[in-house]
Amino acid sequence: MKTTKTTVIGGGLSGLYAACYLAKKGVQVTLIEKNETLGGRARAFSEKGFSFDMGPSWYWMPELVDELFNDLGEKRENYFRLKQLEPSYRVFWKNGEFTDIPSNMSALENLFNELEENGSVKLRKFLKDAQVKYEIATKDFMQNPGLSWFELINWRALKNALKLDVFKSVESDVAKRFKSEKARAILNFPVLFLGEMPSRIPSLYTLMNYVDLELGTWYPEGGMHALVKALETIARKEGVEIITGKSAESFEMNESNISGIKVENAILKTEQVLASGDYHFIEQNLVPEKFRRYSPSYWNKRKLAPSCLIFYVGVSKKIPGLQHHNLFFDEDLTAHGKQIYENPSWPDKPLFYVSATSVTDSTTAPEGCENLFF
Amino acid sequence: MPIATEIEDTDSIRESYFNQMLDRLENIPDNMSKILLFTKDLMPSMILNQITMHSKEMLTALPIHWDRLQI
Repeated sequence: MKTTKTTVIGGGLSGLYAACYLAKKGVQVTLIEKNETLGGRARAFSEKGFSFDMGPSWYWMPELVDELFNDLGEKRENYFRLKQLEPSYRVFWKNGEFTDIPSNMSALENLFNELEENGSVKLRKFLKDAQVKYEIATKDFMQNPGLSWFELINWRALKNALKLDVFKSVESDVAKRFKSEKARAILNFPVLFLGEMPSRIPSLYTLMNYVDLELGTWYPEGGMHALVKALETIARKEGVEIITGKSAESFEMNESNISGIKVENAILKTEQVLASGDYHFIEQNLVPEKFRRYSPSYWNKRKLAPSCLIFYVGVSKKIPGLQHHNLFFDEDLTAHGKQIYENPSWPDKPLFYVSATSVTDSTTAPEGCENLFF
Repeated sequence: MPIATEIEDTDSIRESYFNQMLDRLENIPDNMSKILLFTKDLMPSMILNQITMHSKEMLTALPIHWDRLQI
């Protein structure tokens, strides 16, 4: 007998996983998703024989995803296979020059030796330091629920506090260790995913270099959406009711308890809500005003990560100059960053990313064609 | 900065970036404009923040009057 009717708002990866997890624990779960398909920013679409992951197209730290499957009593490999890409990605520089970043460590060391004197020695030291940060972060911080600052204080973290490099930036740390502009660009790149410039991100986050260069970039065969489809299959197997194409509009409150959710002029009765939409949207649009923690002016002072413009393009032939993942670093990173972060505006000459999953996965485009995401 | 600044003239932004990306991609081998089969885009409705992705109707076919799309 399933108890406690819980509604999960948002069918992205976190909402889907939460629904699976709750249902597995015996909770009666309804999941509501505003789009017609599940996946949130990781949803996909197909047309004319081309299929596209609309957001992420790879992931790092596959052991964490495998653990999530294990916690549901499932095996990830029963749903999709993971492929490590070789090369991990291609970086384009000015004048059409490019560098392939190998997934193999000895090839990577050779590359750094080509980029600068003693490059491999410097890289090994850099990655060893990054590994310390990675291990502290994953063992001591990442698994905590984030309910209190006290979670951050523990003996090992304190003992290694200086090694965490929270007071210097990624950019200054990399610049101090490497002279080559290309080596610097390669090592500054991963933290751009955090939505800020490397000059403003603590060097603690060079742990991402360890993840990128040492642990590898992984692609689920069939596309990132394979992960979404796997979670949807598990959710349905566990009895989660999934409603798509309907938006939650407001919470119905009974005193201080939630009693339902207004969904397109109907009330969906519920005893609990797990909101997996964006925090700002849920807090400012669904929660009744008197229960909101923050005001609009508070939100207007927050600095949020930037959004982006994405093109999905199908072409009628193969593009031999592209790899599966491609970074266009053919313009100036500092100028790009200043226009986005310091004086927010559309950058004149942005750095950009191109994914062509059809380079390694023939299921994502018709034969002889290429699907481009940029 | 307000987190909900409407983007004006989205079409010209889309067109300008589309052309610029293709120009830079054309450093690769082909004349891309001759081989385009399919194009759509995802345009944020608000500038430079991540709350933009709430719109349900955001996947748009690119306007065919753009030069690059006259295949």
